[in-house]
Amino acid sequence: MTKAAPHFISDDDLLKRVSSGDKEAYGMLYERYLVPVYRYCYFRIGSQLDAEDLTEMIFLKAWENLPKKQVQSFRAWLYRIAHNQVVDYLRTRKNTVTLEPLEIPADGQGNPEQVLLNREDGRVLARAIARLDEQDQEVLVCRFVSQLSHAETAAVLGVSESHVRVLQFRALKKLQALLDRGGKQDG
Amino acid sequence: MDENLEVIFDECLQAVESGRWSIEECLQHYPAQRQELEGLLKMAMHVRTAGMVEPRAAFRRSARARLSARLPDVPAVTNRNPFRLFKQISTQPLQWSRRMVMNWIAIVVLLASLFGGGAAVQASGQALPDSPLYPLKTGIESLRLAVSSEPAQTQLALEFANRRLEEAEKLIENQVYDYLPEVVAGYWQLTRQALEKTSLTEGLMENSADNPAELIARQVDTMTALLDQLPADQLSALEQSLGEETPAPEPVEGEEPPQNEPPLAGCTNQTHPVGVKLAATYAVPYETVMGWFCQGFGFGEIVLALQASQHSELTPEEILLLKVELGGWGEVWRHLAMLDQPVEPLPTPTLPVEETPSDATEIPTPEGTVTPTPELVNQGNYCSDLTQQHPVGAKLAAEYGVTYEQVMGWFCQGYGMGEIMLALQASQKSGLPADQFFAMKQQQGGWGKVWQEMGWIGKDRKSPPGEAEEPVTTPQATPSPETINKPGAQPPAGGGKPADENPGKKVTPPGLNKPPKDKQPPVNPGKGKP
Repeated sequence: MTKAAPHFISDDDLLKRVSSGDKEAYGMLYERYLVPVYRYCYFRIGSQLDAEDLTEMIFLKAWENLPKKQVQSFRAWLYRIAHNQVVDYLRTRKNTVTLEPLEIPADGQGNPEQVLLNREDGRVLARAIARLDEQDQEVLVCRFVSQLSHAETAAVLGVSESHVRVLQFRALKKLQALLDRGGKQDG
Repeated sequence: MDENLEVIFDECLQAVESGRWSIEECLQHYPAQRQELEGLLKMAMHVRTAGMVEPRAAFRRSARARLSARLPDVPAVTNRNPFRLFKQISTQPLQWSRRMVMNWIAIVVLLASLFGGGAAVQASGQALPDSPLYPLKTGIESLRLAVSSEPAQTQLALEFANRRLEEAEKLIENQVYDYLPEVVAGYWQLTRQALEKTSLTEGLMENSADNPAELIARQVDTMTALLDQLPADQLSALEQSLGEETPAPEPVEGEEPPQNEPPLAGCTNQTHPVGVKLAATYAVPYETVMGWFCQGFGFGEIVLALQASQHSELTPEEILLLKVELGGWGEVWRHLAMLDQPVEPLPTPTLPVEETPSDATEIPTPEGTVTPTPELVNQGNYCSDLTQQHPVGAKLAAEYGVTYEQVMGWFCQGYGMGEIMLALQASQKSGLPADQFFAMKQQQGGWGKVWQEMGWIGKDRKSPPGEAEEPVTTPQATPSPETINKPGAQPPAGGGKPADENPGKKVTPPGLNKPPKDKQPPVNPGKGKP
């Protein structure tokens, strides 16, 4: 007897349920986006604990401001809230970048060396990203860490899709130059 | 060239992301751009991989539960009440969710920006409560607290509480009392926040100079000294405006209700706002707090005792008594740390009864005539398995120069290690056998009464033997608290200043900031009712 695959409920369907006050549905959206939103926060602000706090705040903010009309992409809408929260946070925390230990999942590999390598990679990457300007950070984190589409990234940044293409290219080049110059050693 | 490369890169990137191409396949499609493309594509993939960080497992486990707990507080989208924020702030000032804080700050920052933008934010740092920028200052503080993580939160709360103290000092200096309730309320809110975090995140027993609890105690003492300068009518008005409900004293079986007790000398019938706040913060009767205060303990010390009690088997009163005995808070922390040592429970013996050594349950009888009837205490198997040494018992024996068997004798009669420590300390001070103190405790019903009987606290206080000749060897010779809050009290033992030169602050933990001399309260604060 085979077990039926769990039915995947789309963001839109969950959002409809949430609109009618279904907290369970919101909980499912929360589970779905907790880690991605956390990653977004972490790579934007560089502090594990603050990223956790901010992640919670983002979900509370999202609940409070649930869209009354259907949104094109819940994900993009959520990241837009995250973007605003991070911007607010950074405004009050200028010049304080704290980088704390990260936990990297040992997904599948189970190889402790690889885990350590990943963890170190995460730290080095976070340090390097922190040195870029805000827009470069944002586009890299949205496109590659959070793996948002061009359209979603454009919605979060409030720019056009074509501009996202330009921005991502430039930001990657800057990051590459930074790491080549020895960003790894600084870390 | 670059523009073309951007397009090619994006095409390759999408193909690689979707799994249509590998990086190598892309490079084969665009051999002319191979060098640049390869590096960038690899970098993009590296960011994807290295970006797979995870939040802490503990956070993930608890995050949803926390969210669920907070969601009911968030009204449904369609039922927004524009006055909700203000209502919640006014009724639940200590339970601001971060969301509320952010909303509030957004309003404040928006308003402030209308009157000067970033400059306003900067200028607000120096703003006093009568300045239009003051709400911006406190708003920014709230935001910083809201977004900071726990250890930083405590430090920030303490820093901001210090600002409130400075503001209160200036207001009192200038006799501008209108804003005082706001400032004092703000101070208490921050202090409570710091205390809550301290109990969660800080080891109070760590004997470090910047122990948050000791910083809080200094601030409480400073606030007390400041408020003691207020005219009686202003103090009364302040107390009323702070209006705090405090738990009523619980009647103790066999004791007269507290209202029948005569007021302690030196304490008038006026309610003390600091006492009221402490009572509310720690959910202890106001009368209890003022009882300690009127015995001569400072509010800062009372905070330390209440806070330490949360981490210890000793009651706040016992900790205050220990402080009297030991003379300094550093010593108190050291002793409490001794008690705090983790004790592994021994496995329950499974040997048949006949195989149990007959002397295993024999407990060395301590010398003296005491036959205490202590409450039943779970003493584990350290009393039946004498081959195992109780680490705290061993420490106490070594510290006080008694045998381990003596300590365990009391322990196995049902006394806690904290009580044993108190008795040993008292014995050391007085030269009387420790057993005598256990007996006195049994007869009197509490350690506080034993101390009174000995004349170490209370109206008939006298110096413990040896104290008068030789000051207590702590970083700061500590006078008796008895001299603090009562008029005409005798000069403290151990070389302290006479009561009228050092009012309200006699028992100052080592290193605590004293309020400026000219800010010292009068000899007898005379505030508060017992």
